[in-house]
Amino acid sequence: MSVGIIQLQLEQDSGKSLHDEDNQHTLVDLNRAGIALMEIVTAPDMSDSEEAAALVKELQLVLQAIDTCNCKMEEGSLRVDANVSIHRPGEPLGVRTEVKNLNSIRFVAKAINYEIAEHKRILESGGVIVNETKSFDFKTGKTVSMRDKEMKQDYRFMPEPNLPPLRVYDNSDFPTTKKSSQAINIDTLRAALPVLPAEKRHHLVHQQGLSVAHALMLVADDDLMQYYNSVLAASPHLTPKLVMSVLATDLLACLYKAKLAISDCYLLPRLFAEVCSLLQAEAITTTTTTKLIQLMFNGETLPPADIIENYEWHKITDRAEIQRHCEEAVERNPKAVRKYREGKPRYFTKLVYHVQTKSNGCTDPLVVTEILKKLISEVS
Amino acid sequence: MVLLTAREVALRLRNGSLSSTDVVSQCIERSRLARVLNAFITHTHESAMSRAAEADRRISAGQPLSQLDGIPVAFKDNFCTKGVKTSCGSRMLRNFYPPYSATVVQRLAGKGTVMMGKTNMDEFAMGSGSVDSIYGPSRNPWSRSVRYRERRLGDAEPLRVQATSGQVSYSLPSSTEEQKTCEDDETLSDEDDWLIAGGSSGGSAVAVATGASFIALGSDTGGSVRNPASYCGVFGYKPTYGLVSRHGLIPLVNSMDAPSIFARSTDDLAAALEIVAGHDIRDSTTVREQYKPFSLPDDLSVKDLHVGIPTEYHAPGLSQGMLDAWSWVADLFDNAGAKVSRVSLPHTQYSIVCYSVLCACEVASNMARYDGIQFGHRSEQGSSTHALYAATRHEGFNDVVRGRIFAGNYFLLKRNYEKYFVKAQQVRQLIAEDYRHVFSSGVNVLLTPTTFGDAPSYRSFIGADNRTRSMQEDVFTQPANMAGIPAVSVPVMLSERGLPLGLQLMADNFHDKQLLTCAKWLESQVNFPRFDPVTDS
Repeated sequence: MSVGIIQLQLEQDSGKSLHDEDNQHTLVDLNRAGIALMEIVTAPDMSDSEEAAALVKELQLVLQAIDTCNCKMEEGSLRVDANVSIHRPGEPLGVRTEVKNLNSIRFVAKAINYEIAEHKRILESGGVIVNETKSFDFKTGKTVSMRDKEMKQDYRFMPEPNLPPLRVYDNSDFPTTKKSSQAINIDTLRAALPVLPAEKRHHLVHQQGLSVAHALMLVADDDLMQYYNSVLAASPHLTPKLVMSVLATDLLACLYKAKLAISDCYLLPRLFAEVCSLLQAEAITTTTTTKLIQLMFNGETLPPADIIENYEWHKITDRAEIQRHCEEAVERNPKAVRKYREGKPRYFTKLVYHVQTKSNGCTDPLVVTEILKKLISEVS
Repeated sequence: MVLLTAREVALRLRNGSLSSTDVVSQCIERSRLARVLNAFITHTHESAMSRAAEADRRISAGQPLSQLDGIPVAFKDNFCTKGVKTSCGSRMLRNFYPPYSATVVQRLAGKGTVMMGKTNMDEFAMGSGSVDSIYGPSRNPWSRSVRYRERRLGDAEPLRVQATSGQVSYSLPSSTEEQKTCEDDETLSDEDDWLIAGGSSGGSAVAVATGASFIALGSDTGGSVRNPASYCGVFGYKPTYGLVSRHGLIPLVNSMDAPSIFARSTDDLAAALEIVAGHDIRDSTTVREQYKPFSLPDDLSVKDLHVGIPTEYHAPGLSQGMLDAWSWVADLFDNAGAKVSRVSLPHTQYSIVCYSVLCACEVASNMARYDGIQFGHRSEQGSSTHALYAATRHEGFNDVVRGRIFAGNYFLLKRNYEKYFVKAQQVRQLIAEDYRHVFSSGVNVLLTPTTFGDAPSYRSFIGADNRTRSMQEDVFTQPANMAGIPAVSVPVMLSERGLPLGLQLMADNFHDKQLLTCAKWLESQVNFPRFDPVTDS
């Protein structure tokens, strides 16, 4: 989906006043005073909090990519004001309320959800929505009115005379009398833009064959993207999809457990690539891959090939051997076999699990499944 | 050395017959003699002497930084000067020492000029007399010439001015009394029986007229440099808006303010312009085109010049003396072969009202920064932040400033915005179009009076309030600020009372060279007396 931008404003941030009423003091914080601020006003094109959160996330990625802002909401680099209204299909937009100064994507979503529910509640009980400004109390999860004695501020705006109108040109109308440094040509700017998130995702999905979910994951995290690219650079023969699969499933799990970020990852991309190569060559199973990654993440310094030797983690390709494991599984788990035949698929898993355990995870689950099913249908 | 031009002195500096130290010392002395005129708020004599010494070193080594290396300059007290008090004539900034210098200050310093001090002005540049300053009013040095004669003659016999066949001669009755200088003249200490210097850049005009400085900068928003130039008998030149950076000039009306120049000759104006003009990245309203410096030609002819006389400038209230001067100069051009014709600027009559609205609106915005928090005056009172702001602003601003803030706030209310602000902007466009139309029809320069007549007395000037005075005084000068076009006041002759009369020349945007060239020709024709108001010689 796309969201329209209807207005862009460049402003200067002002100071903040902190009123300490007990001590009759006001503290004036001018640390942000004079800092350039950009306000982006979107069209009301979003219909729920998820879309709103996605928009904010995407804006963050774009602005970070073009080096405008670090967009760290927790630092105050990016703030969101949400304008919410509800209406029935076919009817015009309802009266909106504005929730100001949301400083995390989570709060954006929560505040919008609350406000939508609030609008519904008011309208369904026969009330009217008042066009007002509200703030979000994250402790209670509710929005509260910021109205000050029903007075509307008249800001007495006038156009800033120190900033002459900004004329923006493109290749078709750039004035020939001006040098390129004297005027703005958006075509020139566009050509100089770095690759934007949408383009990156498109490339990952269509050129590298990744799933949309994985593409989103990579583009949203610069460090992760960097790691991923390093792995592919170390071993260009690897299929991106496979690399990403191991990365997302196994490595991230280790990082999460150890409460580390990818930038702190001890396991070098080069070594990670070796593991992926083994998997791609079908020398090991996915189960083994997981165990291997865990070992190496936790400090194992031996090269992956040696580890496999030591633990005897080679993938079992001998069908006869697999067959034997399967027969044993069927034999030892008659109840499971019976229940499965009665139409309860989850008991099949028990059989597969038996084979995997006995084979130390070195059997291909697809092959195991195939053989087990054959066996079960033969036994009657 | 008395009242030489900067160019003349620069020549002597280069051939060694004068040193910058000599020159600066003499300027300091003249400033001392004329101190009763109250031209300066702050003197920077110590640093001036050391800068003069540095200039002398450079010049004797054959490495002057510019034409004006070693030449004294002064700045109106609304130009920020690093480490030197910048008060804008107001209580609000009387303890303000800027941490940076305005671009024009930096540029002039970078080319070797020597700052003599900061000059007096109407508070925040609001006014046309230089009488509304917390440091007291500035006085016109020519006040003395009237009274001196009166005292010598016993009664006020008018000065005989003969304007025949293009030449003016002044017959000053001979005197037997010993000459007195400004310093000894007690008559000037009379509270109100002296003449105003004009404003709001009166201090700078007086500094140049008395020889306390060779060049002085002022700011011209509605005529604030041209007006006192006319009254004090010096050149006052407002460049095209956008040619000179306003960075560091504490603003009155951002869309009209122009850092402007006082000097005793047109060549000096051009020399100063060359140093200060040109794009400044810190001022987005300066034009980006590379500035092409020029010097004024010495062989001047007006044969191909088309001079326009706008009929609307024939305003009721013009003194006979000014009318005579105007037609005399028009004849000068005519006789020298220029084409002189009547033109029309039909929206002139709306200019002053339009200005009142737009000025007040910008003032309301510009004065918002004075809240006593970061710099400037802060009130002792304040039970709350709002009380602090209110008390600070009440104490810090005079009633002229406060009046304009209130007016501006009113005009900018949502319900009034269309009716006042937008309307005034539309009228402003019409006024600018009047000039565009006239200049595109072949007219090169416009010739008008600068003021209604010669300098009024303080007593008569304060008979009306600041707002009324400003609306009256600015009538001839203000439209040029509306359109942004360059304009210069040229001292052309003395009135019957023996006081200077200035005429204004205006040209199209960015035709500053043509304007100053025309002014130089006029300068050479009128032979305005080199009268020293300090020593009366």
